[in-house]
Amino acid sequence: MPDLLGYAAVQTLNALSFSALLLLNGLGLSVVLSLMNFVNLTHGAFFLLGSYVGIFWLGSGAPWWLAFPAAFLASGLVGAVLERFPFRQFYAQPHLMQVLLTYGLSLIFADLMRWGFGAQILTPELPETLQGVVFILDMPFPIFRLFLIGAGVALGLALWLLLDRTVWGAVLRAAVSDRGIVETLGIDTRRVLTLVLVLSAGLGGLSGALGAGMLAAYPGLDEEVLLLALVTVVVGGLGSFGGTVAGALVVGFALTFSKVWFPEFANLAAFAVLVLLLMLRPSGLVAPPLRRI
Amino acid sequence: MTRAVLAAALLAVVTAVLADDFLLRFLAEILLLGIAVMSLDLLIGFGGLVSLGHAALFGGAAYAAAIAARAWGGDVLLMLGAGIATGTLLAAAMGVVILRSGQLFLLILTLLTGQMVWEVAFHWRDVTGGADGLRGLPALSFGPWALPGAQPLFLLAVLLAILAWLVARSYVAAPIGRALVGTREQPIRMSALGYSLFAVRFRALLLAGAIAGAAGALYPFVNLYVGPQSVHWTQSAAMVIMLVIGGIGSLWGGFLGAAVYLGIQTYLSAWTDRWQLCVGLVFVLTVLLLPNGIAGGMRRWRGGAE
Amino acid sequence: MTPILALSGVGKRFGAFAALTDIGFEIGEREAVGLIGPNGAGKTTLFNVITGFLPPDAGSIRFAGQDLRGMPPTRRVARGMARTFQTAMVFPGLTARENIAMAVREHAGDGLRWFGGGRGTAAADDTAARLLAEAGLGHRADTPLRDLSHGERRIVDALMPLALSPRLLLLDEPTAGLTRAESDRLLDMLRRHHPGTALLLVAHDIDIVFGHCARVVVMELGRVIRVGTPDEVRADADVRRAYLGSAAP
Repeated sequence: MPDLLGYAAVQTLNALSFSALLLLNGLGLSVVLSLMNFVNLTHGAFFLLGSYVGIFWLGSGAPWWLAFPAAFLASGLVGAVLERFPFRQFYAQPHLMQVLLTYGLSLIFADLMRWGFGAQILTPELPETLQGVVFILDMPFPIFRLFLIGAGVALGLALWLLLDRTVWGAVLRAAVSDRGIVETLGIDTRRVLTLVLVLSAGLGGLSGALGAGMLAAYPGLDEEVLLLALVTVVVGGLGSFGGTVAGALVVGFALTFSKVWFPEFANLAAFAVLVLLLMLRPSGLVAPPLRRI
Repeated sequence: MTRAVLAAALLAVVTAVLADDFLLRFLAEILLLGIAVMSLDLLIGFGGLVSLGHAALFGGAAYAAAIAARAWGGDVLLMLGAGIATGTLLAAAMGVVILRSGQLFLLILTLLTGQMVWEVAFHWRDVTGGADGLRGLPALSFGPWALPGAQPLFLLAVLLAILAWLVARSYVAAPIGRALVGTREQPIRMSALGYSLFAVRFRALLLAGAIAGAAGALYPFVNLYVGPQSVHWTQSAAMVIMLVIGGIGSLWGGFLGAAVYLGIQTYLSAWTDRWQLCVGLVFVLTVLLLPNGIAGGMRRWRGGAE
Repeated sequence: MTPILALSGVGKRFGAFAALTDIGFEIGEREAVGLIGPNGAGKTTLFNVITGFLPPDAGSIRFAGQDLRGMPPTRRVARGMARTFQTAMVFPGLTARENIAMAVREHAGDGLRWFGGGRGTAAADDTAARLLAEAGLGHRADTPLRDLSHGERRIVDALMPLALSPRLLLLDEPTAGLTRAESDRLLDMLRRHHPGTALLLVAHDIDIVFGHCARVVVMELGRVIRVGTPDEVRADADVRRAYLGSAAP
């Protein structure tokens, strides 16, 4: 049955492209959460801002591939401003206060974006290179989604190298486990934390620009994306790169295939699977061994 | 205490006679949400369990009551029974999922399990009305007596608020409540003393679900409507901010917070289109300026005056 | 007679780091055993493994003849095993009496009571008052813990597990921050008023361990290097090298 096989292949690719998006966005949330212990519910707003920047850039006629760095910079800049005030005062506060602060900010941003960009659904004008479809086992598949998969793998790899294999990543991980020691080495940990937040926000924006070609952009998308990012991070487990990758894959596949099988209750079915997974592994799929007490 | 309860009852009767329909419904809404926020205080203030899914318990009970009312009529006891049962059951399901993980995951998991209730409310159109919600509810009744209009609703809300407050107060003063605070302050010590953290927290969650469910049962009768927004996690976040505005750990702060928040919301939505932005500002300003809430502020002010 | 606690071949690894290797020793009923060793020897990890807060990777732990494999901490408490922690874990907002009553209530089956004061609830206050009096803190029973001195808080911290009338009490540095006189008073009180409770005592001050324990277990780098009476341990060359330092007498 070649049809069924092709259908399965296309759905798998769909799931992979969605996973790539979840991975990039989830990594942004995860670094701040696991490295700084800061719950940032503004992350969805960074994503949506990136989507709008990407859409307007692609519509402007400027070189299309610059849309993604532009979205990274725009969201990163907003992240840098927010980091100075008020995020910085809340790193040491209870999660409850962080949640309320960042949720309030996300409401403000959502309303500002609705004001500035309107309430209609916007889709990007993709460059010709990314338009059209390829045929996989006789089934059409959008080229843009292949591009998404490629971008997800490439950027994910780059981030892994940055965080796991460079001195900068080592400083970062050291700053999280013992700020005092790192500061005695003459490193300004405040700057390190600022950079992490900018990187996180930028990643959100970048994923937004990439995701616009798949999800479009509209008010409310920020909240949906935030929820998915949280689920990705929780399912994967905090504090490890591999965890976020696993989380992105599981969530991407669960959502894509539940949309195929239960179109009406897709999210519910996917969430149920994820909840079940979490009951079996309460600290996520990949949990680093921790010493308690 | 008896005098305080009697005074509140007297005030309620006077208000019910003097105030107009709109005001009475608004006050009932404050009281019902206040009850739910107070039950959230049991979790956050006493148990240290930050939940972003409380609206699912409250709103889930509201749906259950509305569905029961459309099928069998709006008998108050039926409503409360349906609401309390739904709130408790949803809390139990939530507890089984969330209480196995640590603080941060718990927060995210409450959000997630709460959203599952929203998914059901939003997509199960045949039963819940989907995005439109449920309208056309019968009037409340008690046995053979019909209880139409705003006055009985308001008086019922007052009665429920007093009862819920007494129940919650007795709970936190009892050994079980002490144990709940113990698990918040020294969870490891508590398990070394033989307390099961799960047992302590699960009971608190069940009670919070039952109280929120009782309040949720009357909620559809405020506007004769219940919609998916009432179970959405943004409503849960609103409940948390009401709690913070009123003051965490005081029980009565929940009512104050609900009054302030709903007051601002009603006033603003009449005034500006950008009320979402203003609600966001309320959140941000509250945590920046009033992190201990009004109750905390008053305590400090009184402490400073003495 | 069955020992109250029997360890054999207990091992625990954290990744590549072997925190405990082949730990084996016994504690008799009513016996007081000291556990000493330099920082990082694995004493606290061993406590966590014995009390069920960490699962061991290897070996067996028997309590009063029963294998404890897979039993959660709370059930071990119910069987008569209680412990303290390196840092005092008390409830600063509650009074000394209420702190200890919290411990007694659960033990009496009243810990999760909502309605009515059960027998356990009433008995809890009496037990708490008696323990505080025994420890010489009777006059501080109704003071919130945050207003007590550090030493007094530590004593209340040790009284909480004692209130469960355990068969074995594991004390992790209960005398840290206490004066010598306070430490001696606490341990004398434990032995005099609660002779039925066997002790496993970790303390930094070796003189306290040698003074109050009949036998001493010495650990180094996750292994037991010596078990013996205080005199034997004091005379052992390995122990002197590992722990007492070569300059010690």
